[in-house]
Parts: sequence; structure tokens; C-alpha cells
Amino acid sequence: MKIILTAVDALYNWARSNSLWPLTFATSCCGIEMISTSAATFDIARFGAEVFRASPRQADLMITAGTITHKMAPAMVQLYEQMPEPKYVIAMGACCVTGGMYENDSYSVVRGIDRLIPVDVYLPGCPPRPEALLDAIIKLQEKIKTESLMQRRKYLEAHKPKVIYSDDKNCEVLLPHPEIEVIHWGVQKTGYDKSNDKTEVESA
Amino acid sequence: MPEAMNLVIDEKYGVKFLDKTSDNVEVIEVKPDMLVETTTYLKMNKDTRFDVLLSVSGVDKSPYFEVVYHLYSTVFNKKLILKAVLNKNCPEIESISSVYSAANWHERETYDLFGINFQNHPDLERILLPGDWKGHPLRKDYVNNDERLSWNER
Repeated sequence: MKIILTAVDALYNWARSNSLWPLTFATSCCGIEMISTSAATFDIARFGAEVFRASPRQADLMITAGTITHKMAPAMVQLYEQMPEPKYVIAMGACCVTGGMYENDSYSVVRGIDRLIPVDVYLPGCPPRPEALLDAIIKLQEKIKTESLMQRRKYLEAHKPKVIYSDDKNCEVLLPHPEIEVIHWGVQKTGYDKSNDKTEVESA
Repeated sequence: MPEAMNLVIDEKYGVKFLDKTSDNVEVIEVKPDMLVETTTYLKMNKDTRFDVLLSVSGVDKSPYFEVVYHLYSTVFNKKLILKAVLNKNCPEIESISSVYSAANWHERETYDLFGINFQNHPDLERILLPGDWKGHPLRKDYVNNDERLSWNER
């Protein structure tokens, strides 16, 4: 059984790591480097990742190229949740890793997207060169090649967002690491049916 | 054009000549309650024809607020800077979006970041920050103490 699984893993990982389809998601200047990476000079197609998808439903890699603000955060989390499993995230640029030059006293910038979604590869730089992005993709491919199907399942369980409610009227979401993360969903309060969610939380 | 014009509108609208920038753009101070009349005059008069509004911005000079309007005349290739001083406790000024439609979003931005109320504005809501944001972040005395954002502290 184990031998079969290992063989399937190897095939599965080989196929997956060599056809990473990134999501077209660029919020600021890192996006220019990402475009340049996909253009002829650097040619991301050499690593099987040239198909930039405009829809999250067809993508399995999110390169968060650029600053994420409070207003953008709900959109980013929603895009991440819309991507089908298995999915990976490269936090590209200093802003996505720690908040970058906005880390000190900005009122609007999220200080590192790992406070919102799980990150696989951190890529610092302001902005990083296209070679660096290619290096990050190679590192991600190496990581994917070490995965096994069973472990991935555990990983998925750990990363399911859970909806909770506090006394505050504003909608809040508790994310994978319950000790710190509470998302402010900004204006996107509509569409929640609170009565259904509450029963889920109580049963959990 | 601007120099001659100043003489005309000095008495009529109570404007005050303040300064000249290094590239010869005149800076004049307007009365907040005469703003719409002054800009309408500057736009419609055939000797001035300031037909483009380049920007509306706010300045927090700790004791008071200032709203700065940059006008441009495509006919005479001239720029003009208008400044209006507002009370810090109730910063209110008439909207000029009826004169220049470009002012609409600029005024919303100024409202968003400085909390300056533009009266008779068609849709004065936040434009950059989320709709339920508390406070106006570019004010000097702004402190971000929103509990909902505690997850994002350093």
C-alpha cells in the first residue's frame, strides 16, 4: 500500500509542480516585476508556470505581488478561498512579507499577509528581481515534490477558516492560528446568514 | 489674466494675494463662504477662463485646516492656486462640484482623509478607506485605536 502511495505521490507531485498556474493578482509595483518575469526575457514558461489565470477557479498558485491594504484584504482572502485545492501562496515583496516600509506607522497596510492566509514561500525585496521570483517558484516546486497526499489532507484541515462572532456588531473571522488572527472584513458584511453559522460554531 | 484679474475680484469677492511660487503661479486666499462665487467667476470670465480643476487637497496646519485648489486655464496656459482657511473644530466648506465636476472625487478624498465636510456635495462618502473606518488618518492628531484592527499591530 505504502509503495503504491509513494509512486502515486511522485507522479502527482511531478505533474503538479511542473504546471503551476498562477493567479493574475498584482496590487502594486511588484506586479511589474511579475509581468516582466512572464515576458520573453525571463520567461516563466520554462518552469511550466506561464499560464496566468484571470479566474481563481483555474489557478493553483497565488503570487501576491504588492502591498495589501485593509480594503484589499477581504478581496485577497476571498480570492484565496475561491482557489481550488491544492493551492500555494508566494508572498512577493517586502510589503507582503512584513509590511515593508509601511510596517512602522501606516494606518492602512496589512503587516504581512501571513496574518491572513498561509504562505508557502517568502520572497523579500522591494521589489524583487524577476530572477528572484523564478528562484521562489523553483523553491516552491521543490517543496511540492516532497509532499505526500496524506499530509496534504492534514494541511487542509488546519487551514479551514472558521466564522465566529463576538459582542461587537462587526463581522469577524477567526483564521488558522486562533491566538492572533481576527480579520476585519471592512465593508463586505452583506451575504452572511448569521443564524446558520452560529449553530456551526456552537457544535464545534 | 491673473495679475489684472486680482484687482477686479479683490473688492468683489474679498480675495487676498498671498504668494507667488517659483514658477510664477499666484497663490490667493479666498473666503470659504465666497468660494463658489469666486470659482464660478474665474471659470466663466472671458479674461480668466480657468476651465480645468487640477486638484483639491487638504492641509492640516495644526491650529487650522486649509483646502487648496489648483486651477488651470487651457486658454491662457496659466495656473492659479486658491487657498481657504477653515476652522479646526467644524471644518466646513461649500462644494464646488457644481462648478467643476472633477471636484467630486477629489472632495470625497479630502473628506476621507481629513474629515473636511463639503456642503451640498452630491455623494460625500469615503472613497479610499473602507466605509466603516473610524477617524480621518491624515489629521495630525489621528490615533488608530480601532479594536477591530488589533490583529494588525506590530
